Amino acid sequence: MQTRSSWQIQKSVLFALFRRELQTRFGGYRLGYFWALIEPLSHIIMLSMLFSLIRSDNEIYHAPFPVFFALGILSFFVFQKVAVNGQNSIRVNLGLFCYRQVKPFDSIVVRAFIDFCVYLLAIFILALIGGWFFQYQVMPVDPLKSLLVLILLFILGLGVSFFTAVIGILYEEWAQFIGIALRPMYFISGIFFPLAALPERLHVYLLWNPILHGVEALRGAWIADYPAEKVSVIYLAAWALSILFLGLSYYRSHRVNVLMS
Amino acid sequence: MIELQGVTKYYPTSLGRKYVFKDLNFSFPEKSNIGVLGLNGSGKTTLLRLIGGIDFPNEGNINVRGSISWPLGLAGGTQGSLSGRENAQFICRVYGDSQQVMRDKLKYIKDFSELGDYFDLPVKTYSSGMRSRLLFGISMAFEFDIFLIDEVTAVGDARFRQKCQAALEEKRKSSNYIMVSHNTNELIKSCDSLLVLDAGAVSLFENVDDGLNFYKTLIKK
Repeated sequence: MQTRSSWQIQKSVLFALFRRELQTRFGGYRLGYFWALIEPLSHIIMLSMLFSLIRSDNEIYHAPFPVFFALGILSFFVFQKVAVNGQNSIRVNLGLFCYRQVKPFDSIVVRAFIDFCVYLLAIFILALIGGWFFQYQVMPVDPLKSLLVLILLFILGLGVSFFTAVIGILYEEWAQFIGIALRPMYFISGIFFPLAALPERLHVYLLWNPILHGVEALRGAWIADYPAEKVSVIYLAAWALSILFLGLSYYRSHRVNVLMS
Repeated sequence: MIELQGVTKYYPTSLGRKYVFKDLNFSFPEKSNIGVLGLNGSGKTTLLRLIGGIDFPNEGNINVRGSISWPLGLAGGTQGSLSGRENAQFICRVYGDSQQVMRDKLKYIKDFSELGDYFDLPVKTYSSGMRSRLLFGISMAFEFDIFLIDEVTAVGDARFRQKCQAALEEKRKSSNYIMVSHNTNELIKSCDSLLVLDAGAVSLFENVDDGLNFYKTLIKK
């Protein structure tokens, strides 16, 4: 039997798991891929409709409210879903670790990546719906920067998901807590209001939050003339890479315990 | 080559550490088919998992050279909602097989496991015998220097057992195996030496009969 390099093994394991995850997650039902999208789509459409009714002004900085809101909640979900879903990443694939090439690391990365893809697809579909039926201006002004921001939010979520995954297997009851702890982020990450609409004196504190930077930076890159001078992609990137580093270290130091438990 | 250096393995329980092995130093003989025998709970499966690299010693090292199979006969490793084919494809992909190699292996597995149409149905619809046949077929499609076998030859009906025996006999030409079994006839027939586990101690017998005699004294204790 020829020996393969570590990189070749890593590549084939990630690819194998990716195919397998697609089959198990969406392949079970005829409309499996459709169901995967329904959850985020319905959430966004419902809330957009609700808030459009409540609010008198239907525009925020030249952008229709649903566009503004969808960008906010989708970018938030890219982080939050990846981070929270990590808690099952190891458990659901425990049986596969009897193949020594397959490690929990692979399972965490692949599942997070698929979650990310689902949200990218959801963004695409929402843009189609918004542009087609409502004649909204849905094309991003700066597509590359938008993608960069989304990727950084994904990396931030991936970093957290290494924590949630390991905690989810070693200290099961605490894993729920991470989801609860992230819940308030929903309200302080600028999903419902633009930063500029909030009191100036609070900005100092609100801007600690890297996700707010991600949410506002995405809108800045997507919507023409959206005021996003106060947020920084570099700041988000610094957080994302630091958290990823910490998450990987935490995983590395616990990886044997995870497999032995 | 498989070498254990100062291997200690315990499981933490609410009643303290339960030791399986304490400071085990041991080398497996090369180019030899080894039977592993021991009373229930003596650590046979744990030993295979340690060698197979899917469990780790709490202290010490395990040095392995050459390719080693996953422990055959382990319950995990298949996903109920996927078909036998999809499960087999996954393992081929993990081992980096090309499309061509994968096609050949899938054909071999389908023939060997005698699943027929069931090969393309979800594994959760299989009977336990069919599942074992699938798993055994998959493992026989791969080449390893050393196969780890955990009582897998006890599956299926008499005819299929014979088929398994024949397949293992064929593998013997190019590979070796480490086999856990309670079936003494099988051990006599297919093993060159015998490893007897007893309360964390390991004794190797170059002669299978000597090992079996030693094991008999353990049972009587």
